[in-house]
Amino acid sequence: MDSVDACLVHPKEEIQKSATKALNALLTYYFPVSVKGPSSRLQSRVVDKYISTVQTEDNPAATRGFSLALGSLPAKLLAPNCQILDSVINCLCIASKKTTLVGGEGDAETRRNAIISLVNVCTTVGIGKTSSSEVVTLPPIYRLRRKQTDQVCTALLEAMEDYNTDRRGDVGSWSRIAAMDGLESLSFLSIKATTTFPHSCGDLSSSETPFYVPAFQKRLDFLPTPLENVDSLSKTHKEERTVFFDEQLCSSVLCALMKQLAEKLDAVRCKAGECLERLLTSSSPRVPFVPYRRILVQALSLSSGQVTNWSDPALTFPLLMKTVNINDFAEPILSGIVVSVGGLTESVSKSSSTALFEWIRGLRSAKATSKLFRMGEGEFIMSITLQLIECSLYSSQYMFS
Amino acid sequence: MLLPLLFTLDELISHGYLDELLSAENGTFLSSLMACLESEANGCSDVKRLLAIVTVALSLLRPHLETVDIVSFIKG
Repeated sequence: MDSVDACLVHPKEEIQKSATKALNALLTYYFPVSVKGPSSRLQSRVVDKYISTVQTEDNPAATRGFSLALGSLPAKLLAPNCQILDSVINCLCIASKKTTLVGGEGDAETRRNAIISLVNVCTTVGIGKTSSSEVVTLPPIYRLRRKQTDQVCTALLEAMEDYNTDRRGDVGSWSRIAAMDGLESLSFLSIKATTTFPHSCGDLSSSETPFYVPAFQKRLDFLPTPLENVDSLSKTHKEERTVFFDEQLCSSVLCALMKQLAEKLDAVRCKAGECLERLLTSSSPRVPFVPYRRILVQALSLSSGQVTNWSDPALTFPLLMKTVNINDFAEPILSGIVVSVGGLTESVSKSSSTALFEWIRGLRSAKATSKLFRMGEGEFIMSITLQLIECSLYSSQYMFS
Repeated sequence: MLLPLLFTLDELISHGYLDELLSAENGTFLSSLMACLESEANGCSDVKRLLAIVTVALSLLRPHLETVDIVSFIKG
């Protein structure tokens, strides 16, 4: 353990990554944990030590290594009870904030590693209550509850706004890329843990046999409980209702991804496009609450089955500007494309400005300048002053064109 | 984030795509824009940013758009 810990603080990233793999293997196959949870000695030697290092250490190599290590711990140490899981998530959420300083300066690698670890914790521990059909694990593992998933989602969405730069360039993009992967994984985990909607949807339009609903009397035979006992049944059903994925979360995730799809960096656009493609086309589980799903899928050419190279600006921006007419996505797309139009890369700037100008010309010829007014009143001023003037969107509703 | 935004604004204004917004009767966009440019220019030591602000302000100087706001900003 001591030699692995020593490797975790090594300045080289490859060594840190290998050390986290070694740590996971070591703690999974050795250091047994009883039914009561890990011993206090093991707890303070591993989890408490790592958390305090991430929170207090001034050496960036140490915060990078230990924040990555927290995500590779096995579930028996991460979540033996609610308090420990909370402290791990709190520590990583604070480390992932763009304002957090390490030794008086911001550290992009620590933020990125904290985001990767947050997602790893969620996938390792799992979301939602353990169902009765599952084998009860020994030692017991406390899964993430709604409050904790909300905390992780907020941290990831905040990381999508990380535009910090240093002499190496747009280092905030590392956090944004990690956060995109994280939001996708977390969305699928949350959907699977939610019990209030169906998780898969067969494509009824393509099925050859027609779909009929059986008669009411026939359906009654399938009821496990007679109708007289339906009150007690609904009570138990209510208790089992667990919601981890709702309309608000879906909208936030899609808006954040749309904004990144209009970004100036090829790698960021590519990742955003891939994540969006998987979210919108997945059938098991199917992502619910997607606004204007059919139009969105058609506009981004996801229904054709062809692989789109999202890093190609000449291809991405024209596709993206087809979706800007959906009111829900107008603001994130415009705020993303502003960065691309004014960027230094000629190919990105040219493609994005051509797409933006074409859209504005279309609006002007259609006499739909109220949309332009909305852009001016809301997006640009908000970006310029950010803190000075409140965004005041025009309340009038626009027809989808 | 501010520099790309200023470049984009300059592109849009110089191509005339924001004429409807700028010449709107209530003039809220123009006056808000000038107020923002002024607050950003005040105490700014970043030469690139200052140059971009000046470029945007100058691109607003057109006979049919000229207002008291712009003239006072340029004089100030």
